[in-house]
Amino acid sequence: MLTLNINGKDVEIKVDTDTPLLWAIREEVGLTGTKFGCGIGQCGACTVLVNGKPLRSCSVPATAMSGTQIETIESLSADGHLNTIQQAWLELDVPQCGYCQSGQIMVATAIVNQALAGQRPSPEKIKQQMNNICRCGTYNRIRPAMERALDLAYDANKEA
Amino acid sequence: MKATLLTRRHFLKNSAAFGVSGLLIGCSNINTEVELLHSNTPPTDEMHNWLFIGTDNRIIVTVPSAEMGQGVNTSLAQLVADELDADWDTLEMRQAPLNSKFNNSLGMQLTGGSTAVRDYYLTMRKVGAGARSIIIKAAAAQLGTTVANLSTQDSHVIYQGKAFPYGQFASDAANWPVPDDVPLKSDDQLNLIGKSLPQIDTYNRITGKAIYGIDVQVPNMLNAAIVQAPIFGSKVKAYNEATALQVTGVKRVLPIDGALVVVAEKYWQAKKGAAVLQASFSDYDKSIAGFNTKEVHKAYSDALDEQGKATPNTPYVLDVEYSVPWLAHATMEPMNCTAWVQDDRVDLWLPTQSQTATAKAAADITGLDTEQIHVHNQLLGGGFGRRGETDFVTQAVQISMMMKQPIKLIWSREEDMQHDFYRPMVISRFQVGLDAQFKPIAWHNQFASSSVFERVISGMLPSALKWIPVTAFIGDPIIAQGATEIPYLPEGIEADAHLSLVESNIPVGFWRSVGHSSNAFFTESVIDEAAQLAQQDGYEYRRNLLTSSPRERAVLNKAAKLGNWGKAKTGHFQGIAVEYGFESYAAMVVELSVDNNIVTVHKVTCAVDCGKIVNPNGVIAQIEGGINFAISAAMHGEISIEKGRVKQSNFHDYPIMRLNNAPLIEVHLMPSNEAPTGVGEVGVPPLAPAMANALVAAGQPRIRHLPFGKSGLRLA
Repeated sequence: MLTLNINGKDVEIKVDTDTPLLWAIREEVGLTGTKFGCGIGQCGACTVLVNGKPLRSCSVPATAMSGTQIETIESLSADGHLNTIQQAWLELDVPQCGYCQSGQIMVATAIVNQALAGQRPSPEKIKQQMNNICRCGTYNRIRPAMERALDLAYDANKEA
Repeated sequence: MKATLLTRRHFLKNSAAFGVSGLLIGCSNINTEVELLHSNTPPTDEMHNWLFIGTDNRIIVTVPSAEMGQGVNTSLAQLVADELDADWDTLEMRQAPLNSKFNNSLGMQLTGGSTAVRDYYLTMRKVGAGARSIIIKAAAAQLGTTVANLSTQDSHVIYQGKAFPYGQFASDAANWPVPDDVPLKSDDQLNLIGKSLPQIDTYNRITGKAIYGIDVQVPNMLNAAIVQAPIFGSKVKAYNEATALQVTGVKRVLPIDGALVVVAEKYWQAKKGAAVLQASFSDYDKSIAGFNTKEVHKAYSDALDEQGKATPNTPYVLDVEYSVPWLAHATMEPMNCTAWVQDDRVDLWLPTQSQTATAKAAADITGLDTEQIHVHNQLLGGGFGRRGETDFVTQAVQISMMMKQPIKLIWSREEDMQHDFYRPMVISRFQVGLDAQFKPIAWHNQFASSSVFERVISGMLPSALKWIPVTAFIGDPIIAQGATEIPYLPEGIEADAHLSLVESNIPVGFWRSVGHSSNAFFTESVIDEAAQLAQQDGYEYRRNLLTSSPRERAVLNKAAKLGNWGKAKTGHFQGIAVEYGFESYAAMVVELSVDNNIVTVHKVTCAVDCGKIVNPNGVIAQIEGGINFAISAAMHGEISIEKGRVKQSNFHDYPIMRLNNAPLIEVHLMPSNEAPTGVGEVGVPPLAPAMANALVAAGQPRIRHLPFGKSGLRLA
């Protein structure tokens, strides 16, 4: 048995040692918001946060994740409220087919969290960090949504 | 059927029961007189009517087109909601089941050809208007007044300042016949059509709650992975079943047509089993063209040589050859299908662009009637034409038949990339006769490709007629799309375009914008070459020739104006192109710079005339997406064949543009009162030629063969 801490809860699952974290999350834990896109860490549709950092879950074995804190897209609105990134995505109506958006939002969440702890990243820096593929080509909305998410996050931080 | 499948709204509403009676609105085939029916039977999971109004005021609209990111769940529902005066915030949408009443102008349930809004625009409005008319009649009777004293708003009938929910009248209304001549709202009465309502699916898509085909769960379901013969048309020779069966969870190894399937409890186990099969396949048939790119290219060139060239008797002749490569669709969600074949019915849960084709594939294999096939369409993680095909459906049905239980088949990315129905490779030659002022006065074009149409038409013909060589008579109108519509020729001069079809075993199909994706690149590059010969600006040259094409001219002018044509920043260069396709007009100005062979696309300005617009923000999104889709293809898109197999396998060697390369995009929608026309594909065709023309402006040699990457250029 393997214990994974997913979205703040310990989950006991039984998987082969080489089962990628992606398939453990989708098939054993039953959270399907994290998507399979390429299986080789290229597209980022499977991105989750591990100890706060974005990780392409298709390319790491689940067994290597024990003792870490894993967050999936489902955790972001677990209390029924969208996080600031999701709010920005909603305002700008970013998704088209939406299949890649869980991954995009997880990367964006990591960027925003990092920004709150330090400096606001430049648009140039965001361009390099937001490196997931969107086949529908929603980049022209992801870009302003990212800026909006940062604004919302800084505002929320000030109020808190 | 015990399987529980949660559709989007089910999911949201946590499977609220359908145990209420209400009003159902049916409607006959599109393009015929719309017949409205009514019933008080509540819908099951498969709603075979256009509209349901429950006594509890629950309103559900059936959306006839597949939702693949183009926003039809929103735009088509908007049409019904406006006429119905429905409360948009509580309106629910459901994807149409298999039923010919939802057919579009192509005579089937097929979401393609940018047809959704243009085909269903009036139908959806009539559904809403018809329902409202009987609701209001029932309300008048119940409230003891006349229809003239009632108005409607937000799913309520308003009488003497009081609001009564539609649901209160649903049962009574079900007894009223729906008149077939209900007037539609006049333009000034519309309050939802023309508004940028947010996409209805956005919330679920950003919270991980959206259910795509790949996410479907059916009780007692097994998972399957597939290894298809890497060489098109080759057969399974040998494989090691025992090693695969040793993998935990693996149940069976099944040989099916040209493929091996591993079935396991979990997908990852099946995938692992597939990896240890050590399968070998028969070698390729060297007698058919298609076993390497060069060979097919040569076969096409030979066919064109056989056609010969025209020799227009004009002062100047522009004699050039162009080509485009095969392209993969690479939808983000790989092909998948969940099937459950039982003795008397088949249930299919999948992301498909065609319920009709899906059902036909299942009926063909099982021998059941199409009435016994139940298609539960899911959200599509991208379509672009790939999901109108049914190869993965056939496989899933075969597997479920053999396993006698529900199975979910998921293709790996590699299978998806290497077993696509590719955008056809095309070679196209031009001899354009120019007058003394270098204006085109004769247009000769010979092009060669392999037929998409042949496969499509043979699927429609009864088997006794399949021998008829249809393409020998009518060619391939799919590949020819856009080749003959040359708006620059003087009146009375027709473009002369001849297609040679060469047999090849590389599967080809419908790729977003289809024939226009190649022909716009050819013709709009060629016309730019003519402008160069005339030593004229590409925009001025086009504008002067577009004397009898006012809508083309208007979008061209608009794009030039908004794109600051002729006023690019120092070091930036511009190119322009315009295309008519899917009954819409789109013109683009691309502004780019080239530094050490690295291309930066700074801005794309696009003017679109797609007639009346239902959801402007949705249209803009489609154009933005189409442009980015087209940049990936133009810069780096290429599928090549070596020894009968596709060389590319995943995103590392079939690159898709990322955020860092996305240009600024400005889209202008032309105001129009014309009928709505296509949107989903019109953002693609003008991009490649506008970009090619900009590269010439930037001092690069004219590139006549896509992708640009082959000429040593690349995106940053």
